[in-house]
Amino acid sequence: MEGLTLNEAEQKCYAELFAFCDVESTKKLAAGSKVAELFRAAQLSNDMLMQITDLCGAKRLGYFGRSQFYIALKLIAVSQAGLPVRLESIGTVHELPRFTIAPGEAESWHTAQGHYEHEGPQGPYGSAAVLPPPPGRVYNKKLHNAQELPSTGPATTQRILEKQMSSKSPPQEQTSPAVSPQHTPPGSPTGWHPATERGQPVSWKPFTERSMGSGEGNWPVGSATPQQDSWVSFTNTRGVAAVDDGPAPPAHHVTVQSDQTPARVATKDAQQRMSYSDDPWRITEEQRDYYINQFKTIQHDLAGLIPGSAAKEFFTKSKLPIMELSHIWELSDFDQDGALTLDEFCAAFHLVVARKNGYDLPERLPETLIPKLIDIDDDKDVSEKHSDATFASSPVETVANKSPSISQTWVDLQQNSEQWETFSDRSSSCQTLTRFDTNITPADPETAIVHPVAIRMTPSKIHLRDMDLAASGQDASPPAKLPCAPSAADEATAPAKFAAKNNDGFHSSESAHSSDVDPSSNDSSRPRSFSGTSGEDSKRMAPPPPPPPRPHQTHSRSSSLDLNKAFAAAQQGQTLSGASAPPPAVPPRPHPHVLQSSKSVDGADLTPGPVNPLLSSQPPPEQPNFADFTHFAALQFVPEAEREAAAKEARVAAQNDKHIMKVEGQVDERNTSSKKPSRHRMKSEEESRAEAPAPEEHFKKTGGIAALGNTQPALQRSAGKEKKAIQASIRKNKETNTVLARLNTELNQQLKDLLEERIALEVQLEQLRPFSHT
Amino acid sequence: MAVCVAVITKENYPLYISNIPAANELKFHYTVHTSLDVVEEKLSAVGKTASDLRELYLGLLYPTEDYKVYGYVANTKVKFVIVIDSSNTSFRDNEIRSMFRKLHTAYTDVMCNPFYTPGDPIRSKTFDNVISSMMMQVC
Repeated sequence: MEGLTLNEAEQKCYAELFAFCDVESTKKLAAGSKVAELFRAAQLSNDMLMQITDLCGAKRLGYFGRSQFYIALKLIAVSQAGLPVRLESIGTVHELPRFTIAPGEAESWHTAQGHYEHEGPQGPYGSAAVLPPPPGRVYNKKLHNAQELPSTGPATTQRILEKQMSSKSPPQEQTSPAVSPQHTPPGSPTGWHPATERGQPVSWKPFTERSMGSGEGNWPVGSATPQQDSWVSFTNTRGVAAVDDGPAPPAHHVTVQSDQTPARVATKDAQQRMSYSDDPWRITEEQRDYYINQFKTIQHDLAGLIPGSAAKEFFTKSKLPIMELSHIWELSDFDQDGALTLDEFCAAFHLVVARKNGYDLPERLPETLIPKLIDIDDDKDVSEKHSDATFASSPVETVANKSPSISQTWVDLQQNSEQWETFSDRSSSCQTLTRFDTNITPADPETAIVHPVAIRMTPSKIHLRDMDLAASGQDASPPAKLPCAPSAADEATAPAKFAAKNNDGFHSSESAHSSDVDPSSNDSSRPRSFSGTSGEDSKRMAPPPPPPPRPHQTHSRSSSLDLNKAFAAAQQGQTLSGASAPPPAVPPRPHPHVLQSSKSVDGADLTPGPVNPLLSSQPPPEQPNFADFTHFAALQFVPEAEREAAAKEARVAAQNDKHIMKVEGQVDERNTSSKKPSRHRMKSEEESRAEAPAPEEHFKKTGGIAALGNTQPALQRSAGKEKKAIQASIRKNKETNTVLARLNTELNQQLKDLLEERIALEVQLEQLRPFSHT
Repeated sequence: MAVCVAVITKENYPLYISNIPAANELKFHYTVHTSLDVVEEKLSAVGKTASDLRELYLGLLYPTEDYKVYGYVANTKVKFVIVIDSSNTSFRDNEIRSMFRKLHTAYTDVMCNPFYTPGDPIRSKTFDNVISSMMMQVC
């Protein structure tokens, strides 16, 4: 036999049935009286029963072990559901088998549970009238039905169902206004009707009828009778919500209207719906209506959110202990945003109601309460969940069927959050707490600027409508969180992380954009632009995308250099190697060497390095213009040249000098240059140690600028990248600062030494002079 | 092996301390308490730009022969302290960081709950589950 998985309800029911049949406590049920009675009560043909016993293996064994018994019960349920009796179909059916019981047995069952009202619609069952309708049963029409029909099977069925629902006690369904004028409970929903009642529209039991005694009998698992009084206060308006896990309204209404002739069809409907109602965590339509009404009292917009504080006040009225309310909140706030959507609110309300009726709170949100995920029933209109009175069972079912998978995904996601954490750890760590939606198609594919939208962990495109509203808020927030200018995007690792998150299954709650964004395309596009910080890559990518308004930033950054002009000049000069959009962020490393070598030469040799001619006052051979700038050029050229050199890949060409001249001609900043000359002079005195930091500092600055310039082409940056870039440049500047400070101290030290030397020399000289004089 | 996890408010009283069952609770409480001094010292040193997560992670606060203590501070000056048993392979820095991040996330989830008033001891099952997952996994 294949593995048999029973849900909670089935487990309970079967266990009790097994216990019931196992009169001798041998854990083995002989195919004897009790079992046979039970099976007969299932109203199946003998052939079917034989087949079932064959299938479950009891025939082979000669007795019903626990597993065989369970399998048999499952098969009974299968056959009652109308499916062919096969072992494979065991897994598909989760309803409970229904048994009708003869009066004699009924009594025995009775003792176990209380009396049960039975519903009219169960007429068809009614061979053995089990329980006469309890006196005083004042159903509305139902009641009439019940009185007229032998109330039989339903009662037993309910009893069986109740057994399994022993620990759960959904409240009785409030008589729908349509049906029960006389039946209005005395303002206070008396009791939570156990699951048995569902399925049968009969939730219209007179609440008074539903004495707690019977209730308690029904729920041996000892959920104390819910305090309906407080419930009343809680549910101020109508009576208790029909938290009856009853069947969908159709059956309900059918039975109501189909007066006294619950057609077998109707009952079949009811039966099938009973399968849904097995789950106490399923919300019936009446309940949902009630919840929606309550939602409206707090928040008129059904698509909106209830803020946490309002929800807190509301649920505090239920007088549940704060701990439990806190737990309920944790369960029901699915997207962890501190606010409740309609679905979340219904789930929370349902949990509160369940708790008040004695059900223990689950550790995890039951699948049926998980807010409907739009993905699943795309075809089913999202608005369905907001349609007040048109909840059909099918969407619920569909959702429920799919929600397990979603919940599974959710569970997996929660469990895999660790992996997610590790991955994100590898990437930028400062981004973790702000999760971004990566499912955004870039508005301009070419630029591929992706505007990150923070999301919370949502398994799927949840709450399309909710997120529509929330997303707009979230859209605002990420910009606040990050200094993201969409145009500026330094490709840091964040996009990789986003991509990874995508792969992990986190879906964006961003529904404003089309849902068909392909994360892979994003992924593929992003790595491409990642490498952009290196000069080569940037050069590769430089040509196509138009530069964003970067130059402003670079301008501010440089504070002394009009890089626009520099770039223009560079382009005009065309001396740069293949860099049309001159990316200044060429690795600065080569230049120091050039600079050092050139500086070390220092006038001894005029290598075509840009610096040499400048440091040495000797004009380079082929630069007639050079003479014009000798005064400040020697000083200014150095920084400019450095920048240019940084821009080029350590290209040492005479043309560069020419180019620099042009640049110089256009550059008017002297202030920074003025500082540099002195530094350069000192550097020329100093050795490479001094040289290295100085160029470096320039390079760092230009590198920073260059990096920024580099990012121009890479427009696919997200805001996180820019922030990273800024942080990186801040860091670089800090390092530059420290380097400069160090340099300063060193130079000061050297100056002191030199001064001392000078003094010493002078002293010597003086000492010697008298001799020389004489 | 996170043998002990503690959440401490900025007023330096604990919101949540839990150890693996077999441990000597008092010893860990004491360790966490003493590590607060180290945390404060690092906090005052960090000072200037505080928003970077890298700076929020304080790293190894205090190693003893038995265990190591790691610290992490949130923006709100809520401190998280994890005590790890040294006997097992020492954890990579990244793993510790990820543990802290999980802690932080779980803590923010607790905070989001409107029924939770800041300053109360944390009594959330979800939070407990996260913590125990961190502790069990290490064991």
